[in-house]
Amino acid sequence: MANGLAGITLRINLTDNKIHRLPTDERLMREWYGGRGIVAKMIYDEVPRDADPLGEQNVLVVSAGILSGCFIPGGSKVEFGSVSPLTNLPGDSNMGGHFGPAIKFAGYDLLMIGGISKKPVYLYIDNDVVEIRDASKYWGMGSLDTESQLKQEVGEDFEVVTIGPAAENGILFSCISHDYGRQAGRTGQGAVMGSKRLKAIVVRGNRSIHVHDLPSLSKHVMGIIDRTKKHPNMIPWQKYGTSFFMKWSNDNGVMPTHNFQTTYYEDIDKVDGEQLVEKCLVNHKACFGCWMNCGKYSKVSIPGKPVVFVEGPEYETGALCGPNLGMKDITHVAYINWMCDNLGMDTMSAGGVIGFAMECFEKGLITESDLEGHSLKWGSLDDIEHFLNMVVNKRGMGAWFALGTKRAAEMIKGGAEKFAMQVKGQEMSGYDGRWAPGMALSYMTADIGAHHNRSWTITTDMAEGRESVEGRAKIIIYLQHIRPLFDVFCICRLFWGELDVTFEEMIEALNDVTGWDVTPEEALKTSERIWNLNRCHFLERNRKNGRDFDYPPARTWEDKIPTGPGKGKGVTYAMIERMLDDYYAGRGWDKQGNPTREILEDLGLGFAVQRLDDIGLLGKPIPGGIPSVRGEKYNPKAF
Amino acid sequence: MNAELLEYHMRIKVNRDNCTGCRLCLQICAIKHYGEINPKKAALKIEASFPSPGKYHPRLCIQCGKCAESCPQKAIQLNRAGAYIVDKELCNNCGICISHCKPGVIFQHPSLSHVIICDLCFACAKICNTSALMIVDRYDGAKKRVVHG
Repeated sequence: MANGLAGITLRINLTDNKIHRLPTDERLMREWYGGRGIVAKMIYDEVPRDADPLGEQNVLVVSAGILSGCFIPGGSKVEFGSVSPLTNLPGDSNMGGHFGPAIKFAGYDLLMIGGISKKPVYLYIDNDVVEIRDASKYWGMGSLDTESQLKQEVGEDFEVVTIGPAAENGILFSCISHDYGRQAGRTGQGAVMGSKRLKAIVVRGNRSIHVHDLPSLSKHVMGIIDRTKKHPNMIPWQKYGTSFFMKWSNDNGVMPTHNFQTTYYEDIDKVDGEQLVEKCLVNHKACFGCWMNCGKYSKVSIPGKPVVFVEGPEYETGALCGPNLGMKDITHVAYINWMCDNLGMDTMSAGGVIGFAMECFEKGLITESDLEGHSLKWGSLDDIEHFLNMVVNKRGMGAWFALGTKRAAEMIKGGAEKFAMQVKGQEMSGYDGRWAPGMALSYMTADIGAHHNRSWTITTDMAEGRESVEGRAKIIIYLQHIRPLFDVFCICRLFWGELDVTFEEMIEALNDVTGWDVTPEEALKTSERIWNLNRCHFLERNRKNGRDFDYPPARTWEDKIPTGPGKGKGVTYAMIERMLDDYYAGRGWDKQGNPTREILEDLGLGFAVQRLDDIGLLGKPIPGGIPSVRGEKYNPKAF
Repeated sequence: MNAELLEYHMRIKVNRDNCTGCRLCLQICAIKHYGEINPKKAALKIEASFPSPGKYHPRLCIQCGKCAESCPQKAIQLNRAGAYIVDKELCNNCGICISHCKPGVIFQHPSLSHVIICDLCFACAKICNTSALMIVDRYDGAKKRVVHG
C-alpha cells in the first residue's frame, strides 16, 4: 500500500505461543496516526482496568509509526507502550536507532505482545518468518552483552532490542535497549517485557516502504537537509549532542543537584560536554537516516574497573547521574551510564532513585546496616555500584528502591516523600522546576508522570517570567499537544526543537508519505484526543479525582533554592494551585481535573463518557462551556 | 574540460572515522536508482563494529573491475565516467561477480533480476553530512591514486 504503512499487524500470545498476522487497520491508523496514538488506543481497548501491569493481561504494543523508516528527518523512532507497572498509568516510551525502520522493512506496522511465556524466549522476525525462540541461554545476561551475542547467533544485519537482568527481576524502572545505547527508558516498559519472559526481539527485512508521493517527499526532505546542514546549531550539536546543555542548565539554575536539593553544581566543569568529548568520546553515532548524529559513543577507563563502552552520557543521564549524585568525574558518570545500560535500567529513574537513596542516607533515614555495611555518599562510584547491585537483585532494602522513589518513600517514611522527586511514580527528568514554574506544571500534568518530553518550558519560563505563572498553563497545553505528535509519527523532535524544521513542514511530509490531507489543526486536535484518552484511562484505573495525582513532591514548594543563580527562588503552593486551576480550565476539565462530557464528545471520545460517569469521575459541566481553543500557539526553543 | 571528462576524474573517498552509521547514503541510493525507500536496494553498505571498538566502516565500490572480468555474460561494462555498469538485460543474476568483489558491495534483491553495483552517481557522498564519503579527484597532486575504503 502506498501510504507509508507496511501493511501487517502481528498479534503474539506468549502464553500459548500463537502468532496471528492481520492486515493493519488503516481506518484506525488514520484516526490515531500510529505511534503513540495507536499505542494509547490499543492499551485502552485491550487491557482490562484491573489487570496487573506485570500480569498476563497486559499487552506490550510496539508501533513503528507511520513516518519511521521513511526518508524523513529523524524518521527512526519506535514506540513501546503498555500499562506501566511504575505508574499504573498507560505508559509509553520511544527510542531511536534502527529498530523501528527495520520492523517496517520487514513488513509490519504493529506488534501486539500479550500473555506470559513459560520459559525465556525471544521473538525472531525475518520478513515473513516469525518465530518464538528459546532464550534460556541469554536469561540473566546484560543488555549490551545479549545484543552482541544474539547478533552472532542470528546475523549482524538484524536489529535487536533486549532487556537486562533488571527487567527479568521486575525492577519497575527497567528499560528496553537497542543498538548499544538507545533505550526506551521511561515508565518501566522493560519490566513489562521481562514479566512476559521476552528477552529480546530481533528483526530484519528487505521490503520497500511505499509512499504516496516520493518525488514530492524527496524534494521537501532534500530542501530540509540542505538548509539544516548550514544551521548554526548543527556544529555544536554534532560535536557534543545533548551534553552541550549541561553547562547551560547549570548557568540558568535548573540543574538537579544532590537529589534536587539545589539547582546549581559547583563542579559542572568536571562532568559537562567538554569533558565527555575530551575524556571519553570514541565515535559519533546517529540513528537511522539522521544527519545530526547526537549520539556520543564512549570508552570508559577507570583504574580498578573493567574498560567499558557505552553510548553517552547524554544530557538526561549526565544531569541525573552527574550533579544529581554529586559526581566529580565524567568517566564515573559514564560508568554509571554503562552499569544502568547493561543491567537494563532507565538511567533517568535510576539517577532519581540513587539520588533519593543518597539523601535518605545523608539524613540518616537509611544507614550502613541497611546497605550491607556500605555507605552511600555523594560522588562515590563504589557506593553506587554496590547499591545498584542490591537493587537489581532486590537484596534487602534494595527491594524497596526497585519499586521506584514513590513506593520506596512510603516504606522508608520519616518524611522521605517530601524529597522523592517524582510525580505519579515516574521520577523527574533532569531539570528542577522550582525556578521554572512552567516546567513544574509540565511534570505535574504530563500523562506518563514527571517526564520532560511532553512539554519542556525552561526557555518559555525565561521569556515569560520565572517568578510568574500568568498565562503559563495555556502554553503548556499547546506544547503537550505539539511535542507528543513527534512520538505519534515516530520521528525525532530535535529537528523541530534545534534546527528550526517547522511543524508545518513535518505535516507536509506526512501527507507526502500517506496521501492524507492532514492539516496542522487536525494533527493538534488528534494529539489532544490522545491526551484525553490517556487521562480517561488513568482515571478508570486509579478511581480518584485526577487532581489528587497532579501534585509534585513537597520540596517543590517548601524548599527555596539554596545556592546558585536561583538562590532564594521557588514556586509557592498558591502558585501550584493556581497553575492547576488554569490548566484544567484551559483543557476543559473540571476543577478536580476530570474531563467533562462536553470536551470528550468534542474530541470524538464519546465512548469514554459512560465509563467515567459509571465510576463518578466524569467532570462536572463547566459554567460557560469548554474553551473553543485549548492551548496557545507558542514556538520556544525546545529539546 | 567538459563535464564528462571532469567527472571521469572524480571518485568517492571513505573517511572511516567520520561515519556515524546513519545510513542516509543507503536510503538516497535506493531512492535515486529504484524510486523506493529500501536500504537493501543500495549499492553500498555500512559495517558496524560494536560494542568494541565502536566504529563504522562504509564499504563501497572501488572500481577495480574484477566484477566485469568475472562476468560470464559480459553484462558489466566500464563506462566513460569510470563506473562499472550492469546491463540489466544481459545480467542473469548468477552472482559470480559477488564472489569476486573484494569490498563485498555487489548485492542481490529478491525483487530484481540483476545485481546491484555502484554506478558512481555520487548521491551518497553528496548527502553525507560528516564527510565520511567525500567526492575527490581520482589522483592527488602527486598523481598517486587515492586510497579507497
